[in-house]
Amino acid sequence: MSAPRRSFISTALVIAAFLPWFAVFFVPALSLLRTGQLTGTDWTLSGFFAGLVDPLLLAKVQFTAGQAMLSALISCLVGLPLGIYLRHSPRATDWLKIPFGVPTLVASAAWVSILSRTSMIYSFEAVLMSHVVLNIPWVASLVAEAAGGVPVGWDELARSLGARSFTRWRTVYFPVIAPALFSGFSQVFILCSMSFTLVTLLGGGPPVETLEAAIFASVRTGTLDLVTGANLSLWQLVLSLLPWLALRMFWKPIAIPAVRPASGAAEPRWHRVLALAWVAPYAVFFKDVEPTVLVSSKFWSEIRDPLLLSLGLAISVGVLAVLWSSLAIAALSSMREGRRQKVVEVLFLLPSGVSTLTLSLGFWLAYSAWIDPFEGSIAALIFVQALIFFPLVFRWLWPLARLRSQAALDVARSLGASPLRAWLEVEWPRLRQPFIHAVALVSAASTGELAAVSFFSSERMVTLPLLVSRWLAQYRFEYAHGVAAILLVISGVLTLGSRWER
Amino acid sequence: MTPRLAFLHSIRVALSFAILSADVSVRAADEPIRVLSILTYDSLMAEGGLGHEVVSRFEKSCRCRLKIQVAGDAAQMVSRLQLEQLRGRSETQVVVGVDQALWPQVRAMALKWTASGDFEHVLDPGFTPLDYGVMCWIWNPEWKGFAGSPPVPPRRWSDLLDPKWKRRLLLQDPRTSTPGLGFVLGAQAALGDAAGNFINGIRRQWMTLAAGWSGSYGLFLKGEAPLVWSYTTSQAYHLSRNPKSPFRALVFEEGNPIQIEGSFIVEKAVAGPGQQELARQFVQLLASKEIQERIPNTQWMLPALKGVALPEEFQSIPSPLKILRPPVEFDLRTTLRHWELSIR
Repeated sequence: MSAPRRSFISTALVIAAFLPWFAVFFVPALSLLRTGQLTGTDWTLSGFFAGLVDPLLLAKVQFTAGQAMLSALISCLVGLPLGIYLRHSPRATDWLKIPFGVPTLVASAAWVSILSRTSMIYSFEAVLMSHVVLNIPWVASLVAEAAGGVPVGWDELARSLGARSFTRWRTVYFPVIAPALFSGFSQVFILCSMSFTLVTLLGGGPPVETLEAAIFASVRTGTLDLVTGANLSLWQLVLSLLPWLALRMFWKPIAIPAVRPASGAAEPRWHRVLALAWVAPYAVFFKDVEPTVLVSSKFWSEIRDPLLLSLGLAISVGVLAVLWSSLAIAALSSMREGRRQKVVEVLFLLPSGVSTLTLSLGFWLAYSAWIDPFEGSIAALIFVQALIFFPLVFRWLWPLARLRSQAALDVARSLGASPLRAWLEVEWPRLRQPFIHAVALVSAASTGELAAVSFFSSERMVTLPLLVSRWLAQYRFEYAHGVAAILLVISGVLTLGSRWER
Repeated sequence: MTPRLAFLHSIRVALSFAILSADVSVRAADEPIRVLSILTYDSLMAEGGLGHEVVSRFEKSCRCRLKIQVAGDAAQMVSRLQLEQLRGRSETQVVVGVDQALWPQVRAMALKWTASGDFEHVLDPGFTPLDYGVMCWIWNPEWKGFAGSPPVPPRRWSDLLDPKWKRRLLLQDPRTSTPGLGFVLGAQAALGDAAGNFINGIRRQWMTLAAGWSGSYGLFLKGEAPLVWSYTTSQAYHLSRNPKSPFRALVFEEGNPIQIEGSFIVEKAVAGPGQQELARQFVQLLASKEIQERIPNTQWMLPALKGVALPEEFQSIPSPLKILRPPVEFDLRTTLRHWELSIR
């Protein structure tokens, strides 16, 4: 292919990949600064800053940051020894990631069930505990993966040189574990600062209220207050983007060749039990699922429309997120490796540091001429959810796509195949399964997503998570648990089903 | 409105006009079906509620169609109206279910016309009362959490701060629930300057601040707490279901707040005299004796019209010692802001 043509295709691909990024991420983010246009008031810099430092708003920022910091600290304090303990058990380490597949809504339903009739229900402590239990295994898995990568020989060498246990820990393990721990801390902080579902359902209302819950309240409940909503969103952006940027700037994991055992045969069974114990709280809610509810026609007639809508939405979001990621990957693949490619990659990943409700409010402010959140907008819901999941899919598929077999592609081209045909014959068989897996995983995650759904739904457009949330809020626990069980089954089928072929 | 929005708006208006014109020309041979757009909240349109009955009665008599838009609650309904105003749209023609606390937010939008009738409580011109209720704590003396005999229930607002009621009150969020807002305004009316400290103290007493009345009441019925903020008519509801019901409405020495719900016509949205007449007929139907008689047993509220006979179970509900009303002019946003600052 000639150089000008290659350059033209590369530019076209980058533009095509950035168009949806620009429309669904950049324009909405920018709109958060332009609320005066909607409220009919003049925008002034002093007024803008005065809004940002409002004492009530700062109290919410303080609460959000404080609970996220505390959740991250406790998760790391418990996750660190757990991860070190399980470092030589790769299968147990994998199992530590299972709780992250549990939809947050199901986790909330489980905690409501566990804490019912205790003094902890509907309190800050309940929110903190649910955050910590959800995140400890994640931190532990990061630590275990990092510590497990340290060759046994290093430790033995340090011992033979006379190093005591603390010195060995400080010089051999800590330099490897520290970046993983810092990464875990940042990730847990970001996730907890964006917490919406757990806080809304377990917190018992203000003052236990994160910025996300406050953004929702400013637009969808009470007095319509777009300026406050936008100011809250800007603070949310700061809270979630700063650790994200710090993570990208300072996290330099030490690359160690994998020395893990080929099978988990030598792994004590006790380790896997320990890893699986973190899922146990979520299994408890099954005891509250009434079989009579699941077989009643009234139940099914009430959930029929939400079920169909949720499935349609999940598949649309899954397909769109993967198509969009594919476009981004194609754009990056067409670029030469270097600084420019790195910048584009970071820009594609930027939405992962932005919360769902911040994006939703920005999207609504940007496209308010066409979207009315009170009427419900399925298109807005699909675009916003696809943007939320796009960085995850991209981060997962991009390293796989980079491992392309250039020699095989060149052979195919030399045999007369077009670039597309060569790619389909050489690369697609390798990438097909991960792509299908990505569609299934995003669809599974979408079925349990509540924040964007709460923002863009209407009385005529109710999804399964919204139904669970409403029924939990109305304390119709039997029905809520029934739907939560269905959500868990859908999520499990999509996740495990996509792995079946592997 | 920016030029871009104005341009898009004009395209939309032109398209709507073209579609409507086509629709009318098709119907020209018959009689055009008029449409009246109503905005209300979900419990009014719930199964067995008053809404469906009103809709079918009106559609039979008016040769028109009612387009019902349902918001989650009264506060969301007002937010939606405000949004329509911000966007320069006037889709809703009649609003049903706004109460006197939210009324100042929407008063400017209302047509200054009130349906005729001899009402128990009257607000400004434009607001036609639909029903009213006295807000109070509902008390369950047989709550299983009491060790031994039940304590004496609260009789004054300040009694609620007693440590024995810690995490034993079920209240609603005033930002999302009109009874919740009624509690805050009632406390202000009853306690005056001391209301701020009272609200700060009550923050330790509630078990949860539910988003809506149905949520907190559901929790009360499940026996999670002995006191729930509701209406005196809740006692009548329980007595109608079980004459031996232990649930009792508590009235306070300083008085109890009242909630008056009503309807109004959105002035800008009723274009011609024909449409305005249709809207007036609808609001007048809501204020008619035949509909008002259905309110106690469908909405479990008291009818707005004087002289409407009440069912037997309503005879035993306690009358308030004093009725607490919110100030005629108050800024909802400021009130909620003070409330939020007080509970932190």
